[in-house]
Amino acid sequence: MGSNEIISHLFRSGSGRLGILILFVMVSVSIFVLATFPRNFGSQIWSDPSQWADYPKAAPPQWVNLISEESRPKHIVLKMSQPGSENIYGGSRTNQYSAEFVHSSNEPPSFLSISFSEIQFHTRAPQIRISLLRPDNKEIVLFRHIVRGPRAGETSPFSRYSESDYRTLLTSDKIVLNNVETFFKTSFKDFRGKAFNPDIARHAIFGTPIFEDSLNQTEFTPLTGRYEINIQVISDPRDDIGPMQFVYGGSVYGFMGTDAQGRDLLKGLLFGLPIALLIGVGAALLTALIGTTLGIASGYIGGWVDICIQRGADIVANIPVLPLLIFLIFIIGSKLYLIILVLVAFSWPSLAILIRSMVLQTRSSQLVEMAITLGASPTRIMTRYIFPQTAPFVFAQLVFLIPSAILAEAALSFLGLGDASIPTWGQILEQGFRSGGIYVGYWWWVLPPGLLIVTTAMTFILLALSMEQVTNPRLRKRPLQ
Amino acid sequence: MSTSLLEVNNLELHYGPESSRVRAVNDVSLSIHESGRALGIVGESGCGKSSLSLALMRMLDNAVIQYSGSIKMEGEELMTMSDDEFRQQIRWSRISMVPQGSMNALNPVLRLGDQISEPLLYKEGPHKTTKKEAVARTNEVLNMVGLSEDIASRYPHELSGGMKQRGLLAMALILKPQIIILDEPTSALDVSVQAQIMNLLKKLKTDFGLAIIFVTHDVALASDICDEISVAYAGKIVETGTAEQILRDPQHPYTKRLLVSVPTIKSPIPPDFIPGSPPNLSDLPSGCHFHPRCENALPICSKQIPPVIAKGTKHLAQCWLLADKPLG
Amino acid sequence: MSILQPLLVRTLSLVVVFFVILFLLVITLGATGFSDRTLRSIVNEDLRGIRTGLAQTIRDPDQLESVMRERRQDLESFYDLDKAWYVRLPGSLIRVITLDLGEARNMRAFEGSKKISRIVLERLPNTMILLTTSFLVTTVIGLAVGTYLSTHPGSRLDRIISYFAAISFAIPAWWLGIILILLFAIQFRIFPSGGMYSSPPPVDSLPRFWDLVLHATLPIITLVLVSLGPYIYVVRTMTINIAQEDFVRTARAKGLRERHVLTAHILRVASPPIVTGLILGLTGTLGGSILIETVFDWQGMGRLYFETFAGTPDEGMIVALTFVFTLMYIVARIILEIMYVLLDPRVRY
Repeated sequence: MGSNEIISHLFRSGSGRLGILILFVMVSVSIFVLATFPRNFGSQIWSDPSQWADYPKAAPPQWVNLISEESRPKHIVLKMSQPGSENIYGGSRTNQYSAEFVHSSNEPPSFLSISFSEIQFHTRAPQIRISLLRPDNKEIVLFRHIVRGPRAGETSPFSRYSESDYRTLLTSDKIVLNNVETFFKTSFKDFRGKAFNPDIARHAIFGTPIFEDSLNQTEFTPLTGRYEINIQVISDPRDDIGPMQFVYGGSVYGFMGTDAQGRDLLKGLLFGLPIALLIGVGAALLTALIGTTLGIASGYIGGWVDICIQRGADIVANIPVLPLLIFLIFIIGSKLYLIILVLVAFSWPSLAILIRSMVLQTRSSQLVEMAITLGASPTRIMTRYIFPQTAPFVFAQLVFLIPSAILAEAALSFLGLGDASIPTWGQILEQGFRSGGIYVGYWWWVLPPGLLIVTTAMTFILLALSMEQVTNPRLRKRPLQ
Repeated sequence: MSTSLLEVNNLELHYGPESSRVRAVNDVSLSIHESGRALGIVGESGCGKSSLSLALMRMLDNAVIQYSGSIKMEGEELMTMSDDEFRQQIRWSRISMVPQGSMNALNPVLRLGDQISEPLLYKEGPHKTTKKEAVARTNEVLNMVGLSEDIASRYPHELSGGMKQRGLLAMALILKPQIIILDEPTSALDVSVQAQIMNLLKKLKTDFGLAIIFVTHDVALASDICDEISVAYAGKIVETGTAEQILRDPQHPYTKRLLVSVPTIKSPIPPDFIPGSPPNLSDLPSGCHFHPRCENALPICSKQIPPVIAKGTKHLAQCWLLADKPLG
Repeated sequence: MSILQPLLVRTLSLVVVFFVILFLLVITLGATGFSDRTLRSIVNEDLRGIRTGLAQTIRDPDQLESVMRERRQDLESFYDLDKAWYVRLPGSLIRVITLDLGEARNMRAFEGSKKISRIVLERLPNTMILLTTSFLVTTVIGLAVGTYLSTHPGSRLDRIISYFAAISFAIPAWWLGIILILLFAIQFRIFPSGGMYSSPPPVDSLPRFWDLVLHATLPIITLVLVSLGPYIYVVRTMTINIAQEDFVRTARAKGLRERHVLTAHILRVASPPIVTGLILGLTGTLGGSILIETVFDWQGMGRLYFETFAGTPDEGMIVALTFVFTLMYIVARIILEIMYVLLDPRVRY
């Protein structure tokens, strides 16, 4: 029974073919992820909240619009780097930036934000004015900003916002709220609403007031259509103004939605795939290596070696795995390689015990006895004669160990013992659970990572089951005589 | 003619699937005239003799696609009984058996005594007894087969091969059946134990008037105990007669071959073997099923099923060579 | 042929395993410096308290420092911090075994006590409610469905169950719990999403019990679902294998009722491996209870275990809980060995 036979068997059974197909897809995606994602994705991007500021928080995937009747606003990012018009008058320059977007939902966006970057000025600090032109041709002046002037001892030119962007969340800024309130008081005669909070402001900016109710008017009908964001920058003609970014925060996002911190779940889930495979394959390979080595040594050398290895295996096999796994990871730290090593430490015994019994059988086989008679060294006998006999079995066990390791890591991560610098599916689930996401029905946060764990584990179980016929002697059909 | 104890006619037992029908029991007829007599059924392994004993006990698995013919016991037709009637009234109560493979035939986790007395306690019908009576009866049958009563509390793994075989025999006797089928009862035992068991069987036969159907591959062993012998080949009985007739004057070429294949002490003739192997029961040769292995096969042997020919009282054989005027 | 000898041998070897695990536990705490760290932080905390007390009486800062140094030395020798961890080892081992682990740092028992042993033992029955109920349900359903399938191998239900078994191996129990919460607690609002009682809990005993049943339903369903599939499959496969043995044919030949053959012969012989499967499943669930109790906010030991390292880790609590989990596991294994010896006379030698 060689490896060819195993492979041909895999392709023959339906579950084997399905397993190989999914595995192929997973490996391709993993290669794509490894090639396109930065190495330090976990620590530099995923765990850095500033990276996710301009994303909607806890937004379901965009495609929920297809299922639900209510169409929710999609996320729009408008980048402006070149001014639409430029006027120089009396030593000062007025740059006009503008961008259009369509607001088509009855629900206002979850937020509006603006960011400036890389501003360099020579004498006077540039002044920025942001306004929004609505479909009813009324213009709301949202925000005015004066770039911070020269500090004591600073010399011209003065550089601002080059290290990190200047970002304002327009929909919760006190000044913006006041501006919006003022706008409604001046533009709508009878408007008497007051005390705008961010929620009222969002509805107000994208709506027209309902007049029937005269006091404390804070109800609005949605105003859909084409909006234009206008940014006016007044500065010295020599000054440089970097690109700006206006964000219309959707309440649905992307293919997989976002978590409560606004992180794009698609990215996290994709990154989790190669990690899951690494954990599974890594732990399984190491376990197979250690289990087989100890099993062969135990079976072939015998004596004290055998007794020590078997007693060790007995003890480890009788350990309540999860509590001690948690204990150990907690004590020695949750680094990914440590987690893999601890998993290996708990899973070698069953393989070692099985391999030992197989070795005891093959040791007395004619082939091995002949090799001994011919004077082969024990190492040679173990590697050349005994190992090949156990190899297919080890391979099948290895495939079976992969899902166990993936599931164990997921469980640890779910308990908050995952390696925080490397996002895994278990960690995404843990955050979804611990932040209370499930109690408010954030299904897109908890279903996909779990489904991915199940699919990945299932793939290897399918492969292991379809190989079982070859490798499990009890299930092997007798060849016809 | 008085009614026989057991009269089997044209018994058929075929296993499925239809596409590769296994004809394990093929038009078999046999009889045991009265109690205290023993019938031997002799044949190579794979000739359907174990299936025959299962057919007599109506122990059919799901794959059976044909089960027909007639089994009469003291004139009463058993084939028309419902499965439940047969199970309650016939199986173990009137026909019991000692199954083949005595090593695994006992339940490993139950005490021997409990296994012996089980039918008395759990089988519905007239046998049902109290626990106390069951123990007494168990001790009685243990004594009958030459085992001491304390064996009853032992587990099978604590018994030797011979003890297990006796235990199985005791188990078969518990309901005082008229007929007992012994399927290769001694094949797993060494020769001295084998002899003890054979003597025990003879004693049961004469002292208690037990009728025995003795299924074996060993003609010599069969002739030791049996009054009549039927030779089975490919699910059929090819020759039947008294033990004497079969041994001294075999008619069917297969019987002759079978006899020669048994080594005999100090005989100048070396034991011969039967060429070829027993036929596949799902793909039987046409005509006489033995013809591919028969040295004297005639052209007709492969074409037509041979007639049954009488060669004296009770001595019947089914072979073209014995026909007065072979056709074709 | 004594039944006691194999029982003693097996039990003793498990007890040895138990002590080896404890020993390794304490060694790990010592060798990684974890126990030094925790003791030191306890000393520092004590010293802070002492300093505020002393600062009111001793005005001279130099004198205060020297008194503090003295106190620190006293405390360190009191906690044996001046000795190496392996010197402290026997002491800590004994303290673990007697559950004399002092007081929890930031946790309290429901009745107010801070003693670790009280806190842990108070949670034990809650965990047992979940474990034993799901164990019983799994056993009953598993046996019934497993034996039914063994008489219908290859049927549609048989194939469905075999997929079910494979899938339930691949589904993390805790995730299944989350799905059930999303479905039955959030979407359909049939069952509560977590906790053991509503707040405030009903006062009368009958409504109170009913409240507990409602809260326990989802966690128990979760535990049953993940262990049922494999278990049914063990029962089915064992029963089919044994039904083909010669002694079953003997039993049929005796003309016994088919039901009697199934229960008194097939299942009787299949019972040792079936019991093994069950108890191994139970011990698996023991670990799983940490996750399930966390998901369902069930006030058992698992939830407690999660809490002890979720906030500021408490060494005493962690050791105590790991100890109790190991103890429960070993007890289950000992029960298994006893059952096995009782059920299968072949292993009595």
